Amino acid sequence: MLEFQITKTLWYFDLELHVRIGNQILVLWGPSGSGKTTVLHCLAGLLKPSAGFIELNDRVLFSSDRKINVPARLRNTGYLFQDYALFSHMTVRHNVMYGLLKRKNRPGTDADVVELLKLFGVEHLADRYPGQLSGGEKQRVALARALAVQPELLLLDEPLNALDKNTRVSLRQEIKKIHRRWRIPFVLVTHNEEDAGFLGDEIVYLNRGRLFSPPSPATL
Amino acid sequence: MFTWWAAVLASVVVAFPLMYQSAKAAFRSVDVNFEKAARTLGASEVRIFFTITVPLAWPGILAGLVLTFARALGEFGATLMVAGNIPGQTQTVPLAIYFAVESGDNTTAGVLVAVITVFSFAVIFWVNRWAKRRGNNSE
Repeated sequence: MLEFQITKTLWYFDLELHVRIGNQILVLWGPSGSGKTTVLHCLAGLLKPSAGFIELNDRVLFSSDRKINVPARLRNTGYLFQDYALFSHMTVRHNVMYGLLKRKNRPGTDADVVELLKLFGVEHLADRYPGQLSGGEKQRVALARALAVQPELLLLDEPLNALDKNTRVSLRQEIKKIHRRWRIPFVLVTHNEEDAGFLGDEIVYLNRGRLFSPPSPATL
Repeated sequence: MFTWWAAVLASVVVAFPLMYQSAKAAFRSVDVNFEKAARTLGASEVRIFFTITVPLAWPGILAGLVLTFARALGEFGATLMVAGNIPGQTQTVPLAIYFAVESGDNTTAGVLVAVITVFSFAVIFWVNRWAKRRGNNSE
């Protein structure tokens, strides 16, 4: 369960948003510059909202009233960046392993990584560097890396943007599949109507930082 | 003053701005998204610095080191001022060349010039080779 109510003062407008979802896919849909990525950054702890609160499974991640702001590294959220942000100086294996090494009680093993890569159909790429991968492969590796830490929330920033049509359609289905398997809330940002309609259990339309009631799924 | 430490200090002072500029540019060139990604993966700031920032900035830092090294190798004025020219103690190669020429000993000067030239080329060759190998790895 994820509930957040945040306000954030940006350069051109104020962001204001109140959302509550279960283990669903929430799609933030809106034009470029409407504050979508800012919302994800606030949820991940990479940016501090001006006011409000963020609660994830009864754990308070941020609260301006109670002066709580859990740092990003302790929030246990997976974040899929728009350009994937795969560490270019590490192999795929080490990229996925990166988040596992911090766990002292249960250090990640090579077997975990391979299993995860298998799930995304990229285990044969384990020893390649990100520069040697195609867009779709990078995407899958980035997903594997984000999910390796067993997050309680997955944030996806324009995950399908840079891909060609075929890869896009297959990855869309894959995201659905992963969501069913992991059973955690997903917050996905997109400016593409079709993707929003396909993926969203809940769709909110964001424009200039304001939430608009979503158009009914039938119109999408 | 007039010890080999003074010569070191003189070289450091004149070469430092080169290192500072290169290192600053190198650290700036690291994509902040890498650091953000590492943060969401649970890494501490110290771990991010040593496992993400430094390795990615390393080629630039190395370029700075080479520049700095070259600058320090040819350092003359400040060294002469603060360290002097005591053979076996504070005499650097550029000073030795200068005083050899002054006293008409062109043979010694020529040998020293040859030595320092070969040495410089060797260092640059090695650095280039290293950088190339590293570049091939990450592509």
